[in-house]
Amino acid sequence: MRLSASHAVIAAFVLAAATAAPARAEETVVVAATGGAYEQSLRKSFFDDFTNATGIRVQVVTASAQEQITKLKAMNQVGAVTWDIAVLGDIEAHSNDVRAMTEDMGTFCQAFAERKDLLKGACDSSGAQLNSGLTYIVWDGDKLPNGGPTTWSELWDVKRFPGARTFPNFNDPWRVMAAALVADGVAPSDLFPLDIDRALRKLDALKPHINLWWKTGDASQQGYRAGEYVAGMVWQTRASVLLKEGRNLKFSLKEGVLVSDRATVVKGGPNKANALKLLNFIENSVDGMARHCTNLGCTPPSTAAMEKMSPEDQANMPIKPEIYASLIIPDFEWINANRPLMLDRWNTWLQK
Amino acid sequence: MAARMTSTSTAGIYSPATALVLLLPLIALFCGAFLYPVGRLLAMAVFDPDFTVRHLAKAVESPLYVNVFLRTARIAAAVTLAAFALGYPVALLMSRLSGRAALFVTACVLVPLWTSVLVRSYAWIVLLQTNGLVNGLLRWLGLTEGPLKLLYTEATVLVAMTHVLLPYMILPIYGALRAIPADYERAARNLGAGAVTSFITVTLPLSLPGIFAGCLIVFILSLGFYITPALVGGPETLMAATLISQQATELLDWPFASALSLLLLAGTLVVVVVFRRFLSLSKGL
Repeated sequence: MRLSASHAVIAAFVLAAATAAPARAEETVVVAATGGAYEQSLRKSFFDDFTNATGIRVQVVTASAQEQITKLKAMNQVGAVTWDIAVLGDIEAHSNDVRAMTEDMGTFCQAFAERKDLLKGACDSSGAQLNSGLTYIVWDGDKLPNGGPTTWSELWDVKRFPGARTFPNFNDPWRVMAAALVADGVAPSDLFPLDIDRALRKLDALKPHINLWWKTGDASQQGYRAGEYVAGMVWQTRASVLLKEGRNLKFSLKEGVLVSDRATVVKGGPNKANALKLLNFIENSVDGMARHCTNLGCTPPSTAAMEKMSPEDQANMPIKPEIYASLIIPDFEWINANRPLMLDRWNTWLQK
Repeated sequence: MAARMTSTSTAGIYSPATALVLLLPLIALFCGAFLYPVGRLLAMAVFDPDFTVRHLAKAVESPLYVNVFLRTARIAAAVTLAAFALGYPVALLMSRLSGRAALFVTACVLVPLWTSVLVRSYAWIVLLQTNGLVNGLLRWLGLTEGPLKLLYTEATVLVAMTHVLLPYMILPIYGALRAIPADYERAARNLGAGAVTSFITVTLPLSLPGIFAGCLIVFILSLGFYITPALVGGPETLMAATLISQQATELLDWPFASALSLLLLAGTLVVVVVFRRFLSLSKGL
């Protein structure tokens, strides 16, 4: 009995070794992206179709954007890069730190120069844009039944729109500072360089009313469900989850902060050719872009993809000229150069 | 008593050489997986690439960082005190109980220890949020009119951290109390001491090693606490660990992050040395 049991164990090992060998030969591409709903949507909109079409398996590594950059830097220092694609925020993707660790995609993008449907910057030397979305003003339709704040200066008006406020505090304070400056009368086109002193002075006035400083998108959703705030600044993707739940949440696209996610190709990754094939597939998959943004409530980088989405979803995109003109568009260069200064000033202000 | 004496005599069974061989795997793991990476990280604070104190100076000169370190130390001290005040009676009870009751109390202490810190911190959010259980109860009892702001304050951080760290205080004290033979207290009572006097003159001093060990563990863990303050604290409750992570992951300023880590580690070591000193003094009591 014992003999046959050990034989079975050996047989299992041999079998495992035999099946492991072809698995290694299988073509793969390793993508680092934030997990949860975002990863799910990438799989259903692009990766599954890509694997069906090419036989290349997409392996997803889950990490927040900042964790990805930190890990990329560490992988570069020890010379063992195991990722092929990193999906990062557009601002971070354009920083010098990241650009030093990612491939120049200028040549890759030339193939799409003729595509009239792609938005400006959809494909640039730092990578391929996957989606963009707003950080915008929302309010609780039950608590403000006669309409809520639709601009930052109205959000600051606690007499007209009484109730607790929420703002993000995830170590990236430029959005809140930009919103404060627009509330103080600065035109969105004149925001950069940000007047940090003026922004913090404007924020002083609202600080006592800010009940929830959310650190994760999940916290902003839970805060709404629990009634921790009446109005505030949240991510569009998270607000769309609340809307799908049937909550009486209202929002304003006006003066929203427009930020995109970008797929970058990592220098020295193990499957660079497959990475380029995947990005090429995504750029050509207008249907995939439409599905991805229907899932998440975002804006795709192609007008052809927008047209494939439902009229309700299209109405939630900041593409109407008068809305688009009011948006806060980040100045990558200034933000990346002034991160340490902003964070220092922000931390000091929070502790006052 | 006799059984307790023999239990320590196993140390004599192994020769120093055998003991060293048995310890080798652990020493190798400790050096390779802990000392080396921590050493490299800390070296980054002062070699960039040549020797420099500029990163350390930046941390010490900025009021922001000094304030955050002071707050971290203050919160850690407050959590340690609160955990001691709440934990000692529980440890005393555990050491006196037997049978099912002992099992029950031990389970109450250990089960939270096995539950994720994240889950325990979220539980406090559910309890303390604006429309949470505590505010609901207060209003139902008619004690408050509107909801109180219980969440996202420094007090909440203290409460939640004390809760999360309480087992680390209870277990060492429980160990020390269990090691005190019951005869000692009986002898004290026999000689005319009351319950309070025998506790203060016999039990408490003999449990001091456990108290110091528990306080040290809780204090040091509090210094590096990260998740709980981030979840239940307000924006002003910045702690040292949060600042270090900002520098490491947001700004990729690893030399400055390691300078901050070095300062935190140095502060922690000072506390350990001071506690050790207290511990050796207390043995002479």
